[in-house]
Amino acid sequence: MTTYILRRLIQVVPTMLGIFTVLFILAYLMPSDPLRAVLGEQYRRLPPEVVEGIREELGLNDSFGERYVTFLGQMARGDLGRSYILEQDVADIIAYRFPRTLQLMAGGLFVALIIGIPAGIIAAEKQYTWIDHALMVLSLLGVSIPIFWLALLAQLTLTQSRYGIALFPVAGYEDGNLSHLILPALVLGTNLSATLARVTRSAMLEVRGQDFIVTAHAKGLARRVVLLRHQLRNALIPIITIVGLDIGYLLGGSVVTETIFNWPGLGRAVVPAIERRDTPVIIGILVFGAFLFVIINLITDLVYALVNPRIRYQ
Amino acid sequence: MLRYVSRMLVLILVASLVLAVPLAAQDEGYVLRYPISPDPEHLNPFTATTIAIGTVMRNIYENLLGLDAPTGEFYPQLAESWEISDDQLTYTFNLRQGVLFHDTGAVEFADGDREFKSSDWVCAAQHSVTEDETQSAHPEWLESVVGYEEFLAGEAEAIAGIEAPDDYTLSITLTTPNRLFLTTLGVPGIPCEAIEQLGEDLGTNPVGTGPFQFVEWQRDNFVQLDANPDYYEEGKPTLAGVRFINVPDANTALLQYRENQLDFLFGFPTGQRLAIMEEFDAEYNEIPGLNVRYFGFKMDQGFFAENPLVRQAFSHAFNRELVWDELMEGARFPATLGYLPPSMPASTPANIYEYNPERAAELLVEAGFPNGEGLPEFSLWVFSSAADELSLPVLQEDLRQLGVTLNIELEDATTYWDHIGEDDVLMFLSGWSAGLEDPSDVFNFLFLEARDDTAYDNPEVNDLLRQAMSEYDEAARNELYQQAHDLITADAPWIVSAYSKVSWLQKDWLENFNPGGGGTYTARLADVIVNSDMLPE
Repeated sequence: MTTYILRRLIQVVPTMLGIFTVLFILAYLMPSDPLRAVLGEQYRRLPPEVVEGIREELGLNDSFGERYVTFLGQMARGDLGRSYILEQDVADIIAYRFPRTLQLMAGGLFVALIIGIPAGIIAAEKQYTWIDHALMVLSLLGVSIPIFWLALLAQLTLTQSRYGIALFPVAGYEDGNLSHLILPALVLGTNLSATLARVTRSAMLEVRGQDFIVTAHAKGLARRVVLLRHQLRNALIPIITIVGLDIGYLLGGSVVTETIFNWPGLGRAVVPAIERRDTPVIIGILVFGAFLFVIINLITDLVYALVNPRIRYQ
Repeated sequence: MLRYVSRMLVLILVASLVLAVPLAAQDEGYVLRYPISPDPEHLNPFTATTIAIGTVMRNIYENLLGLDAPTGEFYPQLAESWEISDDQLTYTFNLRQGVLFHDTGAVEFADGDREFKSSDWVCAAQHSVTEDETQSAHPEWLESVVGYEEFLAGEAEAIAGIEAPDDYTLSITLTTPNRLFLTTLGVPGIPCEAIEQLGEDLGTNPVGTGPFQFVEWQRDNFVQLDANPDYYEEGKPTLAGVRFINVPDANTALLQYRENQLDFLFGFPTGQRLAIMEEFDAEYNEIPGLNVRYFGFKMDQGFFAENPLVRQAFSHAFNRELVWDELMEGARFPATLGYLPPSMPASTPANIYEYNPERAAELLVEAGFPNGEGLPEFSLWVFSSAADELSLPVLQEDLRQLGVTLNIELEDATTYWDHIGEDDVLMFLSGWSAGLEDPSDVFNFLFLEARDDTAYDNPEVNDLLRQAMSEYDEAARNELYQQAHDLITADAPWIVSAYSKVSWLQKDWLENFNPGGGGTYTARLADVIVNSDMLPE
């Protein structure tokens, strides 16, 4: 197991280096400069010498080689740099936003798990009955409905005294106030639970036909024990894969949810940074996200090994 | 486990019911909930360039004089009174006594209460004059002051034209008369200690003298300001504070406004304008704005540079009324006059390009392209903007009727602003927001020596605009602007599309919210009054 972990850890290094390089090249190739981006049509108000001066100050006039070497040096020191536009260090931006994104991720994942897995198990157990069909149609809907529409629908029905019951605040974030988290978590989680339900169903069905399940039933084990301890446990590998991917999706894919619900997360920092060509912020957050993704993949692999001993011994 | 989860869910639901009750009346006064989008980039007055920053900062920092947006008149802020010498070169300011800096804890003062003095202003003035653009992006503040160049070059210890004979007097000498000196004089009242102690953190710890003081900023969430208890103006502000709430989505803002979670609505979701005006009839307000939308032609090279009659024909061909009155539900005024917002002096030029397809066809014949024969295909470069979306197909169709093929080339906004200056772009969408009801705020940035991306450069116009800058007699000045405007419209470097409206919803318990045409952000929040009888229970 230790060698397995070590081997996987060493693989992280070339992966990250590849990510650094690709990100840097993409950022370098991005056209135009941050000042025009942030000012739009009003950039003409700034005297041309200020625009040129800021380009020089930010090192935007340096060559590709110079900028790449500076960048790798910074990354090696763990220095993510400072935003061109926000007068804030990128590390501070991440430190402020990541815990908030994490809350949303955890909320969304929680909802996805408590809806998706039971739905999948029930659908598999009641295969080809109306319950199964109903659940699968619902999950097809869940996958197909765009998240902004679901969010809007949730806002209209659950926050407006005019249209329904004003159960939740429309949007916003408040430290330690869970009521703001419920709607965005529901919206994110519902969307994810659909895929999860389908994967759980097919994995459960695949395991159900196998000999050890027949044996377990033959031993006279209670149905619940067979279902949860034997069948579910053996169906977990594809489920864990999907959950791991979902976490990655939540990390980047919650931009829309964050915007609609005024949630100050990482996604809301990346999009304006791209619009404003604020390269240090774009690279910093993407590097951080990529690193997190690599770590989550690592953990997913370790959990595989934990769940399925055969993987450990390969 | 399941029971535990369901119990938790019920608990959360109940908790949310309790917490979701909208806040309205509080015993300690009213905190204004002001939507803002985008979030301010930072709160550093020396590098501030965007409206979002200005919206928050104008409540925290004050200048020597304030500019009242609705009237365009100066009013005393840090300077109680001021005199301008007859030669228009020396400005003397008598500073208000007993003005205290905000006590936010971000800056350490040697002794408790810290009073604003002339030396603070000199500190800030010097900080603003630098080659380092990340320290200050505003050379225009003091460019016309004696000794500016020497100080910038590091040859002088101080700016020679700025003198502080005592703690409450400032005198500033200019090299040449500058009619707009007071307007551009943006040096903030900030303590020397803040500049010395805060360094890079100046942008997150504002300390000023304004009616509101900084409390907390959660980025992309809210900026909280509280009333300044020591504010010098008697009885102001009446609000307990202001919370600038960042709401990036227009639909969300509407829903929050409807639920009394916001006090204003500044942007209306596309296509819902009339419905909103109907629903919130009594809460709807509008005044003419100072923004102009236009389609520009490249004037220094390419097809349009050589074919003025085609430019004029296109201006006559565009049905602005259809776009702005009908399709856009009155979001802006169709541009039926000239190149200036209609509330400015000299805004009606001799040449008016009203919608007239027949005249357009005649002009094309005159230009030698009857029914568009012999014309190349044109590309119109645009950026994605909900505000202009519907004007594009209308222009395209209007030109098709003339026999002209126009292709729309959409670009991401950032790429676009860089691209339209290039030679391959012959026609593009753009706009301009003036901050003052003064033609100079449009002409000087767009038509003086090819500042605009049209590269329009007419020596006669340049002369008139320069003369107007040093003309102190208003009538004579407006006459100069009128002549310039006539020359520009005759050249037709733009198809003018629309003039903006500043429109917003405000809750009916708020009074005295008076913005100017520059935008809702120009209103002085210190003046806003809450009528507590009107507050919901």
